[in-house]
Amino acid sequence: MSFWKKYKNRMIVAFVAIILIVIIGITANGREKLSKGENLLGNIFSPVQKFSINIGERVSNFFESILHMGSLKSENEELKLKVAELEEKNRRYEDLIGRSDYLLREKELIENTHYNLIPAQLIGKEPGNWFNRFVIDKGAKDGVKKGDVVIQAVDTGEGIIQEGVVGRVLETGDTWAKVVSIIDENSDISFKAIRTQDGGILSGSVEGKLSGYLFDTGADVIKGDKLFTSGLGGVYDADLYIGEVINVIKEDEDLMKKVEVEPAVDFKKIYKVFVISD
Amino acid sequence: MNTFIIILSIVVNFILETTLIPHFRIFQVVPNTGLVLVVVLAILNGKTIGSLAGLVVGLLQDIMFIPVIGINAFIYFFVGYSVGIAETKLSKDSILLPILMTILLTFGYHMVYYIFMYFFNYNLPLSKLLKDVVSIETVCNTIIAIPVFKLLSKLFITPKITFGKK
Repeated sequence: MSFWKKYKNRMIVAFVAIILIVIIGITANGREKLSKGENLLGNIFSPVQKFSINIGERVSNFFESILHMGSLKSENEELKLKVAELEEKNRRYEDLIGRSDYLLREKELIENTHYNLIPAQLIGKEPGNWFNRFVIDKGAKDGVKKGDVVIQAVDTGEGIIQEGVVGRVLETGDTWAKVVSIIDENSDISFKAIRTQDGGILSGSVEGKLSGYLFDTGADVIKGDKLFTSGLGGVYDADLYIGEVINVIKEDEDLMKKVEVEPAVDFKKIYKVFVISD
Repeated sequence: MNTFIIILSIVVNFILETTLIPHFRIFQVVPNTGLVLVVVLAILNGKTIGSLAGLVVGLLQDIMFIPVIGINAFIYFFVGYSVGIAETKLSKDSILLPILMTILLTFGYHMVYYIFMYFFNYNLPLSKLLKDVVSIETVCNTIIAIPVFKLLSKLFITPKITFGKK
């Protein structure tokens, strides 16, 4: 008894530490479903977080629009010119595609692929600087499943135009889901360059940059190439836009060609996303 | 009353930290207000409440964001406990104590986290992390620790004295 009294505090601390390590061990291998307690906690917190993040978004949008008030008009003019230019370019590309049977078929495939998209909103970001994970406001009740791919897209009224792939769902609660982004350190994504169809693998890093390597050392990939998901491995759906190559590194002693990629999505500003459920 | 303030501050901090604070990034780095809160609570209330608060703050983060439960809870628990041990030996009045503790424990947090991640097979560049993330985060955390400490020390200590006189 005296032993217990003397070391009571330390015993409790050691006990808690052991329990936590056991929990880490149990949950480390990934689970199919969240426990009831976790689910409940998420259900309670997610509406509050949603409310709070919406306020934050409004406030920061308000200040941003004030800051850019002066430049709006000139920017509008510029954008109009740019749209005209892009339309012209697009027509030329379509012409080019039309001439190649292979590409035509690929284009048809892309046009006819209809994903079932669930609109969702960001409700919280993981605190700290280590990882890039967040929580969205749609969960199992809305049809979101573990492993679903999350993309950023714009709803133009005529259809949904995808802007880029954001990440994939890690775990789902009733009305919320955890998402890991593609720039997360432990997230790998297989890609293909749209121009040459060369494939490779990209992974994220702590600094939030995407980099990876090509399967083929002789692959002809240059700065400015657009990368899409290849669908290899089945983790990410095929033909989702990832981003643009900003640097190609080839070292003689290395057997691989490395690429650095600028993701299409600004991960600091994601707010509205879509979940692909199939 | 104190228990109420502690729980409220943890919940409010969690909501702010995950929703509003990411808007204010300094060199792409967000301050870790959860850590600051645990340090300040432990300084003001001792090791029992400090470690309990750490456990709750950590578990909240783990459950809401991370597939593996317990890493943050483990680290914050020991942050609260170690600050609580030092609390009995040092003066609470000086503002230097929370500043020093925050610097020390921000560093400690990242070190322990790195060890955990090492065992989870994450291959992270430690030197880059120290240079780009930990250094800036330490400064941010320290700046935030000062007002948090002042605010909470007012909330906790004043009512105790008035009740004692009665």
